[in-house]
Parts: sequence; structure tokens; C-alpha cells
Amino acid sequence: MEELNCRGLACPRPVLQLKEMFEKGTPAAVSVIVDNEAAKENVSRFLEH
Amino acid sequence: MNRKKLGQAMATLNREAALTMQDFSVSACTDITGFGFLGHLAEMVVDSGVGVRIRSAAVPVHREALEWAAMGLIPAGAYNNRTFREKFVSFAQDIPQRIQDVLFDPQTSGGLLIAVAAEEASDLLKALIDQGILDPAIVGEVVAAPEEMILVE
Repeated sequence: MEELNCRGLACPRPVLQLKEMFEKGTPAAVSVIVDNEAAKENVSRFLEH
Repeated sequence: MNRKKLGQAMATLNREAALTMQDFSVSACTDITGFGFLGHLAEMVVDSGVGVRIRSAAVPVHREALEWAAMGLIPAGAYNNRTFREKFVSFAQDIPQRIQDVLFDPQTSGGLLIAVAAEEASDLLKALIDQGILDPAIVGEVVAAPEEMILVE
């Protein structure tokens, strides 16, 4: 499983990093670590999208 | 992306709309800024003794904003706005998440939300259109019940 460490990043950046990762190829599974509520919500929305 | 229209929306002042509404029976008005559409509407509803029903499909929203909201490009302020005012807001079950998110989004350009006597609403709308105001719309109505709640349909 691929892991993306987004600790310390404010709202749009975790999603943008994730988007960059998906543009190189969709991983079978990805674990994204965030440290704030907005980032958690945004990453969840991106992955459901 | 329609940059021209976005730029135009951001550069538009409320002066013309404010002057236009002075000929009508306006009971409340606010500019929609950082608390988002629903945050500012909640400010009007709290302690008013009345409720508001909103037709979400009628609220003017930039198409790009909906695309980005669906992707999770939502500022932290939108979540704060929601937490602050969600007890005054009830969404119908079929309202998609992205619509709920943009209605709380602080990224607005300060357009006016005007409460006007129902029988004058379409004349005010026509006057705003005649003044060349960008995308004016009737987005809902004041209702007697439920009191001090915003129903989003």
C-alpha cells in the first residue's frame, strides 16, 4: 500500500498531492495521513469522487 | 475555465444592486462573504421568528466551484462555517454533498442577499436584470414554519 504523509499541510495541499499521485497512475490502495479535520474531509471527498 | 466571467463577478460592486433595491419593500439585506451563503442567511434567520426555504438549484454558483468542491478542494473555513451554523440548516435528502459544501463556502465575491416583499420579488428581479447585474435570481422564500430554520431543497 502506498503511503502519503500530509502532516503539517493546510487544506488544499493534501488533495493536490493526492491528485498528482493519481495522475501518475491509480494505486491499488493508498494511505493518507493528515493532521487536521478539513484535510481529512477533503481527502475523503477526493477519494469518493 | 471562464476566467472572464469569474473576474467580472469578483470586480462587480454592489452599488447598482443596492440603488436598485431602494425602490422596493426590502426588509433585510446582507452581503454574502466569509460565512458563506448559508452562514449569512442564518444571521438573517436567527431571532427573526421566521424560517426560509431555499431552492438550491436556483442559487447562482460558478460551475467550476462545484467541480472543485466535488474534488475536495474546499477551504477549512467552509467546514468552520458549517459547524458554526449547521443547527439552523436542514438539507433535503437528495442535496448532493458538493452543493452543501459550496453553500457554506467562504469563497464568495460579496453579492447581495435581499429579502423583499413576495409580491415585489419578480419586479425587483426584472429591475436587477435591466441594470445588468450579474446572475440575479430568486432563490427561496420566507416561511412561517419551521421558525428560525433554513430548509435547503
